[in-house]
Amino acid sequence: MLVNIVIAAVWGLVVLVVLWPTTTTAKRLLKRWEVPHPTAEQLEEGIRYLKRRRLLYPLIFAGLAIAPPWADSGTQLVVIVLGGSLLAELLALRQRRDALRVATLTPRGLFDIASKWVLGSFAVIMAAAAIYLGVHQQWAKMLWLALTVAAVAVIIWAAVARPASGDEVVDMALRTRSVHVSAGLGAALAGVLAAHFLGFIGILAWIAMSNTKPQRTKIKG
Amino acid sequence: MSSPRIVVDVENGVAPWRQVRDQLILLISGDVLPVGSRLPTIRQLAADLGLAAGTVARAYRELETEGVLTTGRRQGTVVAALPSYAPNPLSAAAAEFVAVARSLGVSEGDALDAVRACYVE
Repeated sequence: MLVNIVIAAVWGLVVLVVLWPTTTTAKRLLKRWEVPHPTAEQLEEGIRYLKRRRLLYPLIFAGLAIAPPWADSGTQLVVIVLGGSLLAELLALRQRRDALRVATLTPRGLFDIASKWVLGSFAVIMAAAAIYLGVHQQWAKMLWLALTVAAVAVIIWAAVARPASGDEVVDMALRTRSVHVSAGLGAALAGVLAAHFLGFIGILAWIAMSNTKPQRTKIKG
Repeated sequence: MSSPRIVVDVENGVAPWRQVRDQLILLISGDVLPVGSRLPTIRQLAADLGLAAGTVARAYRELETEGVLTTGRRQGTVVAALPSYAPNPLSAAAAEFVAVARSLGVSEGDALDAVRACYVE
């Protein structure tokens, strides 16, 4: 058992080294999320965002080695990415303790940072998967589906509620990314859990959601 | 264009709720936040400033009582009217300068010397 955990953690470490965020990675990430010409400070913020997620990979790989085998390795990889996002968003909820604190006055509701289409599609896919699993009485998979919904819901809540950090434009773009990518991962997992044909739809939804760009928030009502 | 900001120094001796309230009045009087502008929720502003929700709620409540802000279920908190008075902009600018100087660990004497040097320039 211990050997399996160590081997899994080493795999996680290898993935971490391969995916270690650099300036180039951060530039690609920010360009994709509508920050076309990121400054050095914005790139630092992008690197920090990616590091927060990927540093947790060895831990999550090790954790999955303890869990009973329940899916193929591809699905488990999706769980790792979703788990990394979940823990990173929860860690980002920590309050600031410096004496001087700055906040922008841009309202940040769920629909200010996330697309209604992404959230609506996520809800529809989750409902379809739940109905399918209920009709076929696959209760173990239903439990995994419930855990997926809970994980995505917590990520979405934390992406809205966590304190702002660094540059405002990057902060908003990365919040949107957290919501859209986690909803996409959730849809992909729901598809895999329900059935193979829904799995294909789930993967298509993941790609579409992960590429849905943020909208610009306005203060003026 | 960057959006308006609130800066709170929790060690400058002025209650944080008053700092929030005064800066909102300044932004509204200066038309940086025109009538109809949406403000963040109490929870959001409190989280971003690392303050208790009650602290920001007090600032909002004071401004609601004065008729400057209004809160509705659908629209959230919005600027309803210009304040009937405006805080002294020089005092507000001085408070912001002192907050920044303190965050840099600059003594009162050095901060005043920096101001005098600006006049000489």
